[in-house]
Amino acid sequence: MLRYIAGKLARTVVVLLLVSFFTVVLLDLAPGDPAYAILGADARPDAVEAVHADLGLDRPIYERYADWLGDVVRGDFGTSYRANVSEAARVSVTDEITSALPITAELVVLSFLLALLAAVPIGVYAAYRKGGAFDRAASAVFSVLMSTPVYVTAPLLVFVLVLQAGLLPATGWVSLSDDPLENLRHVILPASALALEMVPGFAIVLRADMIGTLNEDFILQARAKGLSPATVLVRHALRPSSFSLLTMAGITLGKLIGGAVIVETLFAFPGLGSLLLESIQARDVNTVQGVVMFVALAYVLINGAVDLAYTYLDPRVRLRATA
Amino acid sequence: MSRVLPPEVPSSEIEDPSDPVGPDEGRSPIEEGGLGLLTTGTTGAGRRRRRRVAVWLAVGWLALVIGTALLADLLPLEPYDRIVRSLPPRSPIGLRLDEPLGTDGFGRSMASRLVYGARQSLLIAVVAASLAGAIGTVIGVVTGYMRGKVDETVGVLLDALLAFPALVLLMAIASIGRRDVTTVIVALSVLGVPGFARVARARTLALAEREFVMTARSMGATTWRIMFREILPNLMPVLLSVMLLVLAAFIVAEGTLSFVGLGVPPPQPSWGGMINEGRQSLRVAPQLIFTPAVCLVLTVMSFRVVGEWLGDRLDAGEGGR
Amino acid sequence: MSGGNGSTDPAAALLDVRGLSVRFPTPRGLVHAVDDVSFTLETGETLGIVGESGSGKSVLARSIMRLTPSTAMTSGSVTFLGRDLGALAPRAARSVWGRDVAMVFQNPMTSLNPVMTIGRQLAEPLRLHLRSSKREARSRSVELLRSVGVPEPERRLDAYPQELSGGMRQRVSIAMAIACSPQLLLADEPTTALDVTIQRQILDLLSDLQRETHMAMVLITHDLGVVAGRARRVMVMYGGRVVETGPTESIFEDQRHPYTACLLAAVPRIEAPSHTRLAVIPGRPVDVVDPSPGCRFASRCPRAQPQCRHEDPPLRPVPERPEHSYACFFPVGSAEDRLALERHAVGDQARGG
Repeated sequence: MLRYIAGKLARTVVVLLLVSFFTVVLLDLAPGDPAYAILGADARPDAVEAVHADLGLDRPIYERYADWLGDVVRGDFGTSYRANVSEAARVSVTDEITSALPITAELVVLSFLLALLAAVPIGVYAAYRKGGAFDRAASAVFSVLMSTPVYVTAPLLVFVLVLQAGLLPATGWVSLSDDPLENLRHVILPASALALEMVPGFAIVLRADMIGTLNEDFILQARAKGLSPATVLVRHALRPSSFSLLTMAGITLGKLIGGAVIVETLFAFPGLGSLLLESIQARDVNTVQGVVMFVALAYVLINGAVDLAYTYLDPRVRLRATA
Repeated sequence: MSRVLPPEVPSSEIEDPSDPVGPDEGRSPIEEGGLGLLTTGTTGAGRRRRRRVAVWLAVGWLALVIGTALLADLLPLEPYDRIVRSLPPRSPIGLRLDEPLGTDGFGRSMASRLVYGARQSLLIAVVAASLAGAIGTVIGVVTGYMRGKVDETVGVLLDALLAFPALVLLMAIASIGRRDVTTVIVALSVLGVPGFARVARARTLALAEREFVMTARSMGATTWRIMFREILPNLMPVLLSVMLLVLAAFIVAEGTLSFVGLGVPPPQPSWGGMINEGRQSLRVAPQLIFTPAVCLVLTVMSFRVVGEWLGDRLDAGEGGR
Repeated sequence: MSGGNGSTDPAAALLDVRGLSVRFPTPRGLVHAVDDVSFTLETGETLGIVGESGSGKSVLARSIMRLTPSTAMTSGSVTFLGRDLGALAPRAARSVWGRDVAMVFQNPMTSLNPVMTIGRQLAEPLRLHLRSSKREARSRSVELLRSVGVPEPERRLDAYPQELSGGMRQRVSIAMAIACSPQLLLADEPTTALDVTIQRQILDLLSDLQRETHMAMVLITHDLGVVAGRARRVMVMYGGRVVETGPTESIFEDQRHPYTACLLAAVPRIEAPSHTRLAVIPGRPVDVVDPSPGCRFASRCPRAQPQCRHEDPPLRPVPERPEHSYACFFPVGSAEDRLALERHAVGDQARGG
């Protein structure tokens, strides 16, 4: 068991290193001199040189990367370099990330929950009444949903719920600690748009597993005990059918980053997504690297959690792992 | 968008229904009910009929889109140079007799922009998918057939590539070059390579054990010859099916790039760009967003329908053989 | 068509099945899994149902409990304690299953939920039907496990099915089935998936439980040896139909249907000289898809005549013992010369075909 974890950890580190290195390389290849982007086109030569020295642009990429890595290990992600921001007003990347994180986290968690809330009942019922009217209707809807990107669903939702019905605000973010109700009103729409993208994937996968499980003998046995269909479905069939769903959840997380960028931009949320976009456009190397690393790390951790969840759900896995 | 594969998670049996390239099976994710129009139903005959109708509709739509895109210059639409002007903003006029789909905020014909935009979006998707397909397939076949160190190193690299959140990769690549069509194509291709490589590799692994390969080898064929004269032709049908699904994904991806400001630069029309531009007028003229959006959704759906149907046919054929 | 099968007064019968037929539509055609089966069962009585796979015996048991797939078309009546089970509303039916009628399945590896502890699965019928509290259910579960011979029952309650051996799992299944002291137990091949040594233990356990609780049991098996000495009556099924039924001794000593005879002959005997060929029934189980009229066994019967292939043989009682009936035009032991004729015919067929 310990060897297994150590092996995975090692692999994770390698992947993270590669990811961060790729990031540096890519940004280095980008045209344009960051110094001018930061200071403006008419910067004085000595200011430009100072920025170059600061960013280490006069040194080869390997040295820069090594330096950055060394800083990271000590917890220092560097400072953010944005255009037209004076020396004194510059913030550390860590600060930037920590202030943007809760927003993205809330968005992601909420949309995940919404997606599960919708997908589980639909998947279960569609499997239970496989081939029936509900199943077919759901599949048709999913087919459309899967072909509709979030940058279409979000404006659609905005059009219907905001502009026509006036139910929710259009853009902007209100923090949870300031005003929970307003916060909810602002975040529910973008979260729903993201959730809609995930629901078909979850439901389809759950349905397939469920159909397999419902054919098993122990389900027949449960019915023979006189349990109601609802009890059989939820208490007996759901847990063994959740594995694909769990894996799917882990996989979807990767796509969620992309969706978050779009949604945060659309709704003017100051989260990690819009931070990333802004910093890429501003050639803010440190911030980009910081965010990418953070995202990659979070992704890896979440998948680790998914693996742990497997053992909780299925005692067979647990027994095998400890054997 | 390519899927980011979580490390070590037992996902080999899991097929992401919206991912054009499934896991190491090499076949498109035809889940029962993945496209319910097509595969669920009470009797086999009803299902097949429904499916055939859906496939024909999809083919019809695609023919319409591709046809108008190719013949754009011959159609009675506003000519290209007129729709790429950046005029001062004028209120979009609704349906007019000579302008059935109305005009956009710059007084440019929507119909014309849609058609030329189709051409642009399709061009990007097709070229990028072909590039990704070619490169990815070669990589897949080579690693799948030769195995060993080559396979492992390439595998690690591809994994690292996949570990990037897809959008980040896209944005990073797209921001390197100038903002134009070529850059978009390159960025999408890079994104698509690992997917094709995975499919090709999986199929190659399976095919390498088959008799006709053994026969060729015993007749003294060289490795390269086997790979490209024996294995590759057998991959074509599957790759075609995958290609269609990748096309669908790339059309969506092009829109995403436009959204983050890295797509086809205005005033060149592209569906993604049109959707992005239409955002501002959502309140007053929702059709500016929704007309290209509907076209995009229908096209993506059609590609998926046909791609999955092809994949099903091929699987059935494989099984029967 | 329903022959006399030993029931003196149908009104007193615990279970009364009349003309039960179950059909499924499949891509290949309409499968007649169960075809016009009738029998009755008294309180405390054991009925053995014997047949090979495909004979419809499992489907029969499941259709009594309405556990057949939704595409199945069932006709006929099943009356339990005077109530027509087929006419019950779903909720009323569910109050019968697990409580008055229970079922034990064939494969203990798959009939227990692998992600639920034994204790939870045992407690379910208790809490549902007897409204036991958690604590009551737990102590009763311990008793149940003890009564079926599971050692260390308290520990087992928190175990998962995979941690137990096949025999243990089957005991747990039995415990689950008898938890609410049902009046009728349907045992669908309860020992088939188990080692021979365990088989006997399980069967003895079932008999003991029966004696204690006066529970009626339907023992379904493909193995005639299982029903010998344990079932008072036996019903032999083939191709979805009842081909012979009657008191066990009568069937064993004086079988009339050729299939029954073949079944008995196929049982290897330890007294037989070594290297005796095993008697097998030639051919394969019949495919009951869109069956044509005639005896279902005709294609494999050593004495089949043209009439057998065209007419459905009805169930006829044996004159001396009306509880014993069979469905054959040319039963074993009648008109020996007919037998000789058949051998001739078989020889002809063998040469010609």
